[in-house]
Amino acid sequence: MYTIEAEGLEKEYRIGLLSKRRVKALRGVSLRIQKGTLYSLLGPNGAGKTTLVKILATLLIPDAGWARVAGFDVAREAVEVRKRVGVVLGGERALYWRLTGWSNLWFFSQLYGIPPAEARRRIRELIELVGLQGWEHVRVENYSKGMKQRLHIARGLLNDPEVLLLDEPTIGLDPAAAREVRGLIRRIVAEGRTVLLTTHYMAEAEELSDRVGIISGGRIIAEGSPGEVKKIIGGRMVLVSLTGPPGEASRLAALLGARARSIDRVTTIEAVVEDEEEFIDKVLGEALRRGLRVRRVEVREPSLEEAFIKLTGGPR
Amino acid sequence: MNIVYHARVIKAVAVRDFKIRITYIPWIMNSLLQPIAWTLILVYAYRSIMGPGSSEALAAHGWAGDPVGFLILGQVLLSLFNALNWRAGMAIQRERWYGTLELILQAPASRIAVLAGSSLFGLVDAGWASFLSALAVIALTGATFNVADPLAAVASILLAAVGALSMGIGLAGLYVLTRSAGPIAVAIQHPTRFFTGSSFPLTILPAVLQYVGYAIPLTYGLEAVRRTMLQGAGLGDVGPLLYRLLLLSIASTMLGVAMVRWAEGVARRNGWLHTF
Repeated sequence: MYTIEAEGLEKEYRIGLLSKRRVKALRGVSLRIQKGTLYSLLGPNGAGKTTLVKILATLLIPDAGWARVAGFDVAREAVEVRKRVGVVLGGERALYWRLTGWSNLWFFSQLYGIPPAEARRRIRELIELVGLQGWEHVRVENYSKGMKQRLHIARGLLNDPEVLLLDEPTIGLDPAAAREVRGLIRRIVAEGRTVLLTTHYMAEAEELSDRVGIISGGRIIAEGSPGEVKKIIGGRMVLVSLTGPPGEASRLAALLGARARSIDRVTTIEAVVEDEEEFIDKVLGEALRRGLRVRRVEVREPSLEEAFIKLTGGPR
Repeated sequence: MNIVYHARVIKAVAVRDFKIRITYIPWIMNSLLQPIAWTLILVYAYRSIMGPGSSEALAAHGWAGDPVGFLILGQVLLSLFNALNWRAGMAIQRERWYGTLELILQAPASRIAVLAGSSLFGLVDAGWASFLSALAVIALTGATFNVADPLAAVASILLAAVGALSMGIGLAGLYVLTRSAGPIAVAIQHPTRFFTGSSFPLTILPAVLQYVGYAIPLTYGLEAVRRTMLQGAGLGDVGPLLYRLLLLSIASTMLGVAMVRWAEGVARRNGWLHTF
């Protein structure tokens, strides 16, 4: 059973009020997400992730196509969708900084029509869930980024939603705070909710997701479990670490169509290739000819990040 | 159930606005002191230019009564409108400034209930400041009033406040469509001061400009309040004014509500909700 379904979604933005310039954000996106699973949507900046989330949250009306969330059409039955969806948009804003965490949650609980006694109980539970006990009566302007993000998540869960849409919930957080938020997301999925997560962090998606979709240029270009997506690109990841004359290893990487990363004086050439032996032979032969010394050779399965880069054509 | 839900939303919005408001003490001081300062400036400008003949000059335009009272009522009601312009008018726009607009609109609550909550708080907030500043200026200047029908005076004040509120709601739909709502709100205050006759009798203006004045609900409110509080007019005398004020207020409120709904649709189609 699918909790989120979308078919042929298209969305185009006009840039400026009078300008004729238009940007196509979605070009026929179709999506199906099963109940009680976590689906990560990965994509470079401007790929259409946030547009898709906003359509599913009823904040945008698609130009073409349709989407249903919790069984209701996002355009024609927006109020029913809103009752069943929680939304957490990234960033520090979207909270009343001059109010306390409790007052923020109370205000939004009333917008969702939660009766006062139930709202108080729910807020207490959520404060505990997100670990903000002792801080609930402190103004939000005094919270750290991580605390604000946890309060955002608590707000997104106020209406006990079937579906939670998380738009880059760990953006800008330090590793410890991001880890706390990831733990929280895991608990939310374990409660049986369906979660759509957009993120730039591949490790996060790989760690949390049942399925991932890679969106680029307004289209979903790959979809499946993290393992399946890694297999879509085929081949193996080869990493060869080299030292030698400055710049020579980078030139070699360019020649072979591979990526090069330098740390101190060691440059690592990396590429996802079909025939790893042939590639290694080529690198070793060229390295010898250019006076480079081989420090390490590693062959492994590509990570989700490497699959992402290969599929989307590299970092933007 | 729906009525209870809407009432809770209205209360929650009003309480939220109150809680945020009391964290800005300088704003509160400003909303008290500004009407006092403006009224005193006008009173002394009148006195210095017209001297003791200001009563006769006003009477020549159909305003027999204390000119200081005339100015106080004009300035206080104008301040009430200015406050509501910023509170009710900016109710939706302010959410954009806070970064909460998308979350408000993502909730199933009625947008009109949200607007009503902010407007209600705006009315209370602006009302007490206007009332206290009026009392302060009366005490400072010794202005005199002539109230023969207290019911008519109270009805006029209440309906003038409703008129000011309706203008705020009417402007809310306009403000939500633009990123320049702040400058527009400022720009609207001065023509309102001019066309409503808050500082001078409207009849001093050329006829064509008076028509503009009489398209504004506040103009009728001002006239009714002045007639009942300075000239001892009764309900029968100001009835036609109040009737027109009520009609214009209803029209302005309906226009504002329709505009807010329409603006939300436009913003959802064009992706403008998040723009700041």
